[in-house]
Amino acid sequence: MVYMDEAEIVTQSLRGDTEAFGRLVTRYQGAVYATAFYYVGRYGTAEDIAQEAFLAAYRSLPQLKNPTRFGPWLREITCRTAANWLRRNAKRLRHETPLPFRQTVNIEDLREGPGGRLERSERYAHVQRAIDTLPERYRLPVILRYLQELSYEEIGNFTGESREEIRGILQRAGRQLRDLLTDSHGTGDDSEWHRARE
Amino acid sequence: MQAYVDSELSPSDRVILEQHLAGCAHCADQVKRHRRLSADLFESFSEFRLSRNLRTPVLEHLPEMEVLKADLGDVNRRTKNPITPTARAARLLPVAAVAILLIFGFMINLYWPRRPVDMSSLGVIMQAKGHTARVPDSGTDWLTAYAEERVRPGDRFETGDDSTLMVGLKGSTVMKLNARSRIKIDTERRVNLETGEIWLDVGRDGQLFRVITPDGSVTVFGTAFTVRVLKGTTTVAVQRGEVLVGSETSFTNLRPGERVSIKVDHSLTKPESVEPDSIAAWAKAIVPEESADAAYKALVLAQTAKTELAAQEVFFVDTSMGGHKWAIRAINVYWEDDEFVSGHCAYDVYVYNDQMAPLFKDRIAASVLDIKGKNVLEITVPGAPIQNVRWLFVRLVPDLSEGRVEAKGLNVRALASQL
Repeated sequence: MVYMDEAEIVTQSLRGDTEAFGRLVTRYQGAVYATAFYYVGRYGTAEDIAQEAFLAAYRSLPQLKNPTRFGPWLREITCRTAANWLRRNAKRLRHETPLPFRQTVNIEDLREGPGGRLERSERYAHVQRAIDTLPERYRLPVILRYLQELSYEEIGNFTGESREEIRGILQRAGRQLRDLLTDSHGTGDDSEWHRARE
Repeated sequence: MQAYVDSELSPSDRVILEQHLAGCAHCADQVKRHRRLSADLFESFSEFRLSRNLRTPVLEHLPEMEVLKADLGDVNRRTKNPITPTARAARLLPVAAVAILLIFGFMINLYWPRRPVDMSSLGVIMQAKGHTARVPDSGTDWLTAYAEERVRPGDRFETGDDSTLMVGLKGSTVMKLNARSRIKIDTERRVNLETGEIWLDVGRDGQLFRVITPDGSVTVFGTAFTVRVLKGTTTVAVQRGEVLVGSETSFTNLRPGERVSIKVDHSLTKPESVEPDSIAAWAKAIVPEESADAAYKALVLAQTAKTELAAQEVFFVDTSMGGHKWAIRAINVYWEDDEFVSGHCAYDVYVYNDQMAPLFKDRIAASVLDIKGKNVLEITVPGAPIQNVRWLFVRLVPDLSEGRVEAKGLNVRALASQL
């Protein structure tokens, strides 16, 4: 039912109805942003990439063969846009650390004490390492779920998997993350968060 | 379990799991740990969440898309062959040239003398002969009506002795006004005939067309017909198509070559036969002026209407379900909740028997559809319960004069008792 309704919106967008395309942006911005964040890991930049991905999608909308599969198609475009951005900025990135890992300590942060920004960023790094140890197929659904709080159905619409598959993935991923994060602190895989450069 | 924590379990599975959790400490502890983990994950991601709505920035950039057609392949090429600043400027030259031309074009366009295109008009006066007058909605003075003038919502037109008027409305509707007639145009799909006679050829654009008279209303599904209001009687004759004529208490469907009158007591006369061509003999003599015809075509083409069908819903009720005979004492009309708390349209409910003969009519007020949580209206059959009818035929016709939102998921069921 969701698909039918969506195919209609896609067709309207194809006819040049920008309001209809706006509805698609509203519906998918969380997923597209989270995907960009998954690859690039940069706050702000991820927003730019999400925006770029939507524009790229609008441009190549006439090439979308099956309007009921808009979500998975958009996911591919987002991945490609993110990959292009990384390639474009590869030289610059080699000298930088992605923002979530950059630890600038200033007085304010120290004053916040335990639970403050410093500790939060450490915990975030820890969570990130745990997610990196998950099977590849689990990672994007996990990010979509916990970064943007998408429902199983919204996640499935975007990755192209059924709601039941997503349910299974998040069940297994949840169990692994729980074992990693609650029992053995800090014993995650040490792979740095440079997945995109792999 | 994860699905439970994420509130993604179906209600039945949820009840089963909750019952189990009440008696199983181990699982309850697992749920607690799942909850804590989820909360931790949400918390650690929270500061990276999307902070603004992307809809506006994306839509703002869409117009540029038409000019700068760069695809993803282009992006790839560019990364392989970096462009120097001068090359970039050179590449912008064609774009700049186009932009300059556009600016010139715009300025020429701005100062070019022309008639303003008025999008708010409903149509064009196509012919005005003899003494024809118009009162705009905003005023009380009668002005002489001229061909080529635009018609606006709320305009009132009147014709004198030996005078005629022809109006073309959006949606390809042509209206001809006979002598000594007065009409008010509410919208392009709704007119009020106060006195006199009109002939209408209603374009089929999917919407209903209504003619309101002092005695009743005429609902049309695309057709040609005449309506005459004379000495307190409304008479409708159909040349082509199908017309539904209704007064406060009764209604009937007319076929081509049929004529019916609404009497003073709101009852309808029996439909009688008339020669279809004779119906519009007077109207045939009214032809549009050439320049006005062109203006009308320009207006209609400029406003290519987006057609939306399904403006009426028809339901059948099988009255011999399960091999039994049933007596119908009421009809329930159901609808689904929607997000609107106001602005619904009203519905006229017409009930026919299996011979398409009218049985009774009723109305669902717009205010009833506005009530949240109310999803059904019972319409009692007036008089004795309906018996010996194989099928009931229920037609729901939206009346868009009260609101523009049509009800969602309309359905009809009959309340019956076994004979």
